[in-house]
Amino acid sequence: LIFGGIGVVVFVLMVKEVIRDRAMQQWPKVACTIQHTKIEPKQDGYAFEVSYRYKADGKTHVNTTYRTDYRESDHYADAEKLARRFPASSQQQCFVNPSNPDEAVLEVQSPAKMSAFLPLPLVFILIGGVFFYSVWFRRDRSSITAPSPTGPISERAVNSTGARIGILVFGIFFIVGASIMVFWTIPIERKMLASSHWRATRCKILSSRVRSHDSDDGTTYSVDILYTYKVNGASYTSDCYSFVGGSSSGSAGKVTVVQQYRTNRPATCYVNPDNPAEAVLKPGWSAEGLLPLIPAVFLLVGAGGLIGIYKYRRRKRSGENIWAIKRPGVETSIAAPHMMPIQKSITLKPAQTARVRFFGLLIFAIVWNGFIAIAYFVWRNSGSQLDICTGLFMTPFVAVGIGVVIGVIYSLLALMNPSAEIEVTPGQLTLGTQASVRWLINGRANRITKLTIRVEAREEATYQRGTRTTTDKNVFQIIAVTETSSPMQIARGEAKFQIAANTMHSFNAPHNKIIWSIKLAGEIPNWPDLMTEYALEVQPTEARS
Amino acid sequence: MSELKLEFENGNTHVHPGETIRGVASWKLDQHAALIDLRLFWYTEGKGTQDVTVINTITLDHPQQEQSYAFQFALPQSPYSFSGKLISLIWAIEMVVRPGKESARQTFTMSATGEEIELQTAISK
Repeated sequence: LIFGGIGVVVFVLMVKEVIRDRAMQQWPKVACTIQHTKIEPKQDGYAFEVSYRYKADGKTHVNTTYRTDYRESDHYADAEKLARRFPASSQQQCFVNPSNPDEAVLEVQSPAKMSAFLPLPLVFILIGGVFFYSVWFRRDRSSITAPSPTGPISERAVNSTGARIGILVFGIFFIVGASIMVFWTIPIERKMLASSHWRATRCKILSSRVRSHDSDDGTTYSVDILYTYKVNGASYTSDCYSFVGGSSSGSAGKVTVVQQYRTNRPATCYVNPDNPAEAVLKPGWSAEGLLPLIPAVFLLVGAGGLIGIYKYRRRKRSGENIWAIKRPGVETSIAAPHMMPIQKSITLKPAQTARVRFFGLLIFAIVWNGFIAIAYFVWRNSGSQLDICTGLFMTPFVAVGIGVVIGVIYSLLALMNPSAEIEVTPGQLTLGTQASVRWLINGRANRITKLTIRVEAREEATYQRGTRTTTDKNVFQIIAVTETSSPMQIARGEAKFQIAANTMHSFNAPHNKIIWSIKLAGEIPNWPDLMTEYALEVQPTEARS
Repeated sequence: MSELKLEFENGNTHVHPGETIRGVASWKLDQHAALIDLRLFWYTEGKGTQDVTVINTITLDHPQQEQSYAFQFALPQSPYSFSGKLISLIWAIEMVVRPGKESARQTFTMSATGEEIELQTAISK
């Protein structure tokens, strides 16, 4: 609600700005004279300051507003451009408010600029709205035991609201990502690459400093070097150190850069031969060029989501049996099981390998503990003292971090366990058939003191509880295949099992599933046990003739 | 309120995979309808968020205000009707009048035996 509320407030403010800009465009144009201009260094850039005189309602007025939304320019070159556009003593035209002639501007901002950003708060509104709807209006869905007596159930599949919301959300992600890439990332990357061929030119450093930017999240720093150079006798001034601007925490690196470019000392800058007003101190592509690529994540998420929805809908339209278990390389169809080619036997792959578990946990441990370490160093560098509140706040985070590290160590030890190969005959299991399972333990099988293999079937129901997605599981069928402590039988063996005819086959819908699997457990004293689950596909009974 | 009715042939609500299910849809509409959809579909009930999949649809354009229509649908091989501790899967045919959302639904069970499969906890050797 807060998320959506912020979006609504921002959206309303932006709409008001657009309306105001449109109204300002209707203000009458009046001849005015520029009295003086100057460029003033500010905390976050350089401000173009102007004073102009004009006549309205028979009186002479003096104003200093260039544009209502202008405070300062990020770069000196931008402020300088304005100073050249409005030189002192020049005759210009300004826009005067007819209802208040004291109010005037030299330039009216285009409402199109603000309008282009209107979709941004809409993303907040949409996400907030979707969460609000799913939490409050769809809450009962999680615990329904009977369908709603009103309205057709099949309509939920025909008019897929979820798909439409998905298209909207992923579409916005895609458009926002693509827009940032086109208007920001690509120009920066192109300039970085092109600047390696720009002309090396002697320049003079006018000022050199580390600029600090204070915000609620702390202080960040940026390099601010102003320099002047001459091309074909004309003087130019620039403050472009590198094309990737912005500020970041940590001032040490910026201080080192600033010390290389001392005030009033000569330096080498690189000038664009096609536009001498454009220059840079650090030309070419470097690792910081990766930063502008971050919006590509939005683009990829949006594109991936849209492709996923398109594929899902295409599959649905073509009548594919989407609720059947998908196996790599095996096409599902609504054909009778006996019409499909039957494999003699099938070697099963673990549902989750020990290696995947280990690396998954390792990555999580690095990210989790990395964040804690960064938080710790930021806190330590700020010179704060450890108080009880901070300690209590950090304790659960640190405890999880320690737990994850223990988990990584445990899964690393499990990685050294012997592995098991499982082969099931026949390869295509149907309800009511007798099957055999063969196993082979690779590695040091003698470390295993007891081996248990069983076939298991369970229901899995996924639902929303508040903002959390929960999956409940219920095992309804356990078939004991083998349980042995004999070293010979542990290393290699075969056993038969029977799948009941009057039970449920594998079923895989988006939120509800019937999962069949083979579970292999090997007890290893004083070591993590061997625990592996192999997904099993059980087809319906062969069709009646 | 319109009168909508769905009846299966011989009142048979227990069918097998791959069979053809037949019946009659009849209606007496209050207002003129643009079309009537007859949908063969299954849906889930229970703890999980509801999954619904329409298998086949017969669309009747510009239906008369009072009419009967004999329908038939070829059934797929799966999924079976079942009922467990967490999930139930129900097969149905639904008649939907459009525009609007007036509808009638008739459920049936589909499995190898024609009966709903009950997922009772079983441990076997």
